[in-house]
Amino acid sequence: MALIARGLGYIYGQGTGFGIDALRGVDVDLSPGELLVIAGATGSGKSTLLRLLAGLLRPLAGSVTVDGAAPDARSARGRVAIVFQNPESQFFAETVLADVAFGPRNLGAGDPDVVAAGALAAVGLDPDTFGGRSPLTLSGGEARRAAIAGALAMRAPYLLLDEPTAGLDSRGRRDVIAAITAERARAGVAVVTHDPDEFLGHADHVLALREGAPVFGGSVAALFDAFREYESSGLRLPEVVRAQLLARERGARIPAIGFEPREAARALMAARGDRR
Amino acid sequence: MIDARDVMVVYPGAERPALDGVSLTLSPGESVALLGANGSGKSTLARLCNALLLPSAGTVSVDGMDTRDTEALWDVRSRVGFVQQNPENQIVGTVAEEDVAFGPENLGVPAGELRRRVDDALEAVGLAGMQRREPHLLSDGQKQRLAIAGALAMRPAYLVLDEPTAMLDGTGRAEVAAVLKTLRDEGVGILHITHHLAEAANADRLLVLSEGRIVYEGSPLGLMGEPERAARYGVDLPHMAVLTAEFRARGIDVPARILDAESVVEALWR
Amino acid sequence: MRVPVAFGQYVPVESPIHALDAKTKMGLVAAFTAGVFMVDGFTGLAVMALVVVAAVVVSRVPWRIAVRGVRALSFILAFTLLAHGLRWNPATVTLVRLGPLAVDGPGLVTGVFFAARIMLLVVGTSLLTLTTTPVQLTDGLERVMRPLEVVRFPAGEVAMMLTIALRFIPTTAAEAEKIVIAQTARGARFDEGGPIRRARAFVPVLVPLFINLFRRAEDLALAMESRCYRGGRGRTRLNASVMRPADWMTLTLATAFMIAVGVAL
Repeated sequence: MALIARGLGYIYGQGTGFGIDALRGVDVDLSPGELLVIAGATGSGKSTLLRLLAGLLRPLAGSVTVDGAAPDARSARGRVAIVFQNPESQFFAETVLADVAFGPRNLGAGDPDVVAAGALAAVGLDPDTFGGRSPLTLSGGEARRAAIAGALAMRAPYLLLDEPTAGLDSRGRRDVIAAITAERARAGVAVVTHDPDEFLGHADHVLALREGAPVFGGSVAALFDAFREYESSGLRLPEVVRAQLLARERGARIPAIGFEPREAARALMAARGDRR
Repeated sequence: MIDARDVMVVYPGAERPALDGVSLTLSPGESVALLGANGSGKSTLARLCNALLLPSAGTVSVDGMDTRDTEALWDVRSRVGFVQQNPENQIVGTVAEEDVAFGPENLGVPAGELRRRVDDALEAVGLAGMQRREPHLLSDGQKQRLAIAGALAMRPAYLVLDEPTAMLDGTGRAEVAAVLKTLRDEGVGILHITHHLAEAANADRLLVLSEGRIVYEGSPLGLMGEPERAARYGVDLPHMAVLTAEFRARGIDVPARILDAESVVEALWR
Repeated sequence: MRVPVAFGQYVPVESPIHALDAKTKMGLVAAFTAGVFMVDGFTGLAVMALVVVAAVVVSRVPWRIAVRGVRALSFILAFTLLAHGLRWNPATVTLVRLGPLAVDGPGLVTGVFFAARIMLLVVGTSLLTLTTTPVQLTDGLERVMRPLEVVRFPAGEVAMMLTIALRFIPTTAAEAEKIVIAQTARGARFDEGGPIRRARAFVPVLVPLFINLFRRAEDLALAMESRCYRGGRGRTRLNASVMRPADWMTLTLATAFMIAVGVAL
């Protein structure tokens, strides 16, 4: 039971002579209950990878299997749910509940309104308060969470999100991150982002892309060991984490790297005490 | 100088004023960062600066011209460049140079001078040589710099930017930050509205808005030393600022201006 | 992923015809159209055909593209031929007879004449859009329409509207594609059922597309106001289209030639 990709490759405009190599040699392993962070700058092929995993594009090299079967746009429905960038710009229904119910209604499984209400609750939006409102009246963070609920309502075992916190203020980001990490209880979650800092603390695995090719893939612990290599690709770990890793390089003993700044400060101070 | 005094803005049907007794000054060559959560009134304040919006009470003047004075409207707008969050939606031209020319064309700048202004503005934002590039073929960071060039071509004394980096990635943010720093050094007054205190760290002054009122005015570093206060205003401190504040609380001297890991480790193990 | 979107039919090569001002080319198209309608014999058409062949060669537009418009009109061409050539039970002598249907010699000749005239017009006039960018066209149009400002026709504003429409075509196309993919991922089907069901399937695409267009329009209005847009009056232009001596010469000589051919042949 996993979403697995092996040696994925994709080229835009193949055969036109102007082909743009978007992705090559990418492996992905995502099991239910896991959070995978896919990091990379704009143009690194992250969004292409997401579309391939969701079966919305057909790979030109390598393969994708969802619980053993190759997805296409039809069969992946109900298996892999995807949230695109700025998903709130796709609202069309008159009420939040009706919009969230769009997916389950198309799938014809269960009572769409009941499923939608459950999805709204899962992202921290009370269905009684928000369900009847027009999507256009929501704040930035609320709208983003309602759009994510639209994907959750597909009740798929895998959930893919493209830049889920882009453009939100700090409160909106916090709410969205909480909703996403909570979803790990029900699904395997992959988050594509150019700003991995806020997700790394919750991640099980990290895949870093640069110009379509993987520069790092593995657990967060392995990432810490290989952080120089990771940063040579133009990405950068959170400064708080870097401070602890740099201290380690100087021989300081820091048993567990923390993401929370106060925790990190205590670890650094303790390490300094060790040395003295 | 942009001078807003005791400004109040009430939108029809709103429960509370969008801005309530706000004062702000911005001089040429000065950079002021404006922070605040969504709905705090940041965009409203930005729009007051170039007469896109007029205050319900109080006054806003630009180099002595009241923004209510319809005679001075075009002078005000040409002196205060305005850049919005979404780069895509503010580009008017079908190729880069025609977009940059849009402002001065409206001001009736003659052809030879126009060409000079367009080329200068593109050069100032690092897009020299991209005159004929179509906007949809530019990266997001390039588009936002193009929007800045469009404002610069009017030769403004001030630039007001409403969350210009909210939709950009790290590279795009760095590009825009570098352009703004150069412009400040060349004497343009910059009002930079942002969610990220890290982006405000190099500003001369920091203002924080909360529910339509100014709740902090001072140096960016001052607020970084006060994590609890910042959190109350819905402002996220850079994690490194929280970390160094923790050190200072324990009597370990790490200056608040240090925000990079190398310098912190250097300071701790020197 | 950003792939260049080609809109309109512009062929981006360099040629003397591409270099002409849009207004010149509009004038030439008018003169050519007049010429083609004035000639009343095959000699005249042949001369006009030579003009078209020469223009296409000089413009360096590939023949395949230059004659594309003719293919689109093949039905009308066939209809023109048949309408003139076919006769029902004619009393006079005919070429071929098939029951009551007959092909009539002089009628067919007339049909060929009209069909050839349509072909020449299509190929000749399409050279305008093939060698002029949409922006140059709208600019040219603004200049040509400017005299109408006397009767309060807002030439500058109309041209600005056209320019903005052109500017946002690629953006809107990309956005429509994005929304289609997103709704597909939520199980929407656009290829099932009868025409009504299919049309309804596009509601979840069209509604957000329009909402987003209105949002864009709002932002754009703010951006234009901020940059002192106040209508077409007093605006200068960076790339003002100017008629150079070569334009005047080409326009005068070609117009004179075509009118002469039209009158004489």
